Amino acid sequence: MLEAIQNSALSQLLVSERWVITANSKQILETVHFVAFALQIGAVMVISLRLLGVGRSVSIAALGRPVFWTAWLGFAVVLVTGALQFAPIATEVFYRPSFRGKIAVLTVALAILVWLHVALRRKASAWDGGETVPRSLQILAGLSLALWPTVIVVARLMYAFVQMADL
Amino acid sequence: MSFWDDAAYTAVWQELARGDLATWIQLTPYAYATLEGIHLIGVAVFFGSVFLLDLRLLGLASQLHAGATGRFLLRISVPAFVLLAVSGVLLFVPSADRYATSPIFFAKMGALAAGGLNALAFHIAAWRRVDDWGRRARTPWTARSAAVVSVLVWITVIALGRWMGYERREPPASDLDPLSLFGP
Repeated sequence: MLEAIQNSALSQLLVSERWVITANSKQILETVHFVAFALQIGAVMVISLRLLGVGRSVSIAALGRPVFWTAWLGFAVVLVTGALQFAPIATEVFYRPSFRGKIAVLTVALAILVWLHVALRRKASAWDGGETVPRSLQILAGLSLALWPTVIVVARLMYAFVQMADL
Repeated sequence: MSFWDDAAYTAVWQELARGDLATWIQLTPYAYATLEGIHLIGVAVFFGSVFLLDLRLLGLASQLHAGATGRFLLRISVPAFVLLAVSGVLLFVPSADRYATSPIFFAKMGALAAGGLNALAFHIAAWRRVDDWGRRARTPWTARSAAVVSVLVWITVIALGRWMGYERREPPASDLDPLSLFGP
């Protein structure tokens, strides 16, 4: 399966020298990945801080809409550009603990993000109306505040491996 | 002959790149990678919060009061910018001589200055009177154009920053060996 990904026509295209843009295709994919994860993670940090009580004069319901639009669109781009960077080095990277660590933390952080989104859809107007945000949800917001930066740092350490192995 | 070819100019940056701080960052395992991780956290928090304000200024999410939202988001983006500046200087030091003669570095600093000037222009032209228009969906044209410039400029800064990463000095392989830490 991994070998099939790595040997696929797409992977070959991404690393081939024939395509003029490929000399920089890694750089371009990385840049788009960076812009997209910045938008996604930044938006998630903003709503997490709001749930923890920063900026009480801002409506949670009204803030949630642009935040989750930005976060999910950003994440879709992150996923595509991430997969395109993964494909050409699939066999080397898949078994690395740093890669698995990144995916593990990412999965937990994503599950929390879905949970926060669902909770906001159901209760945001009530919180804006004066009801207090439940402690359990604030703990999830705090976790999200810690986990997304962890994803970035683990991803950077994984990148150090990829560079050292000259993949 | 440009100033970055000047011997006295390059000597200053070469000395910085050979100094104790640069050596420490280069030789401490994972110091550089961790600093870069911190810088990227700063990028995410800064650009994410700035982008949300830009969306509001463009008239999306118009249920939000622009003034209250802007004040809230500034409390997030300003500390993030401080984090970016501090980690950015520390990332600059070990490759100071390379960056100080690199067109990509100058382009990034130029774009950064443009972002700062845009923020200043927005502050003077629109933000000072935000309590007058903050509830309206249709924001002043000055605010809308500042929002468009802001998105374009910060994406440019991120792109040039990523490209700078390809110009940095690599740490000695023996001192930064992820194979030993992340071995199977």
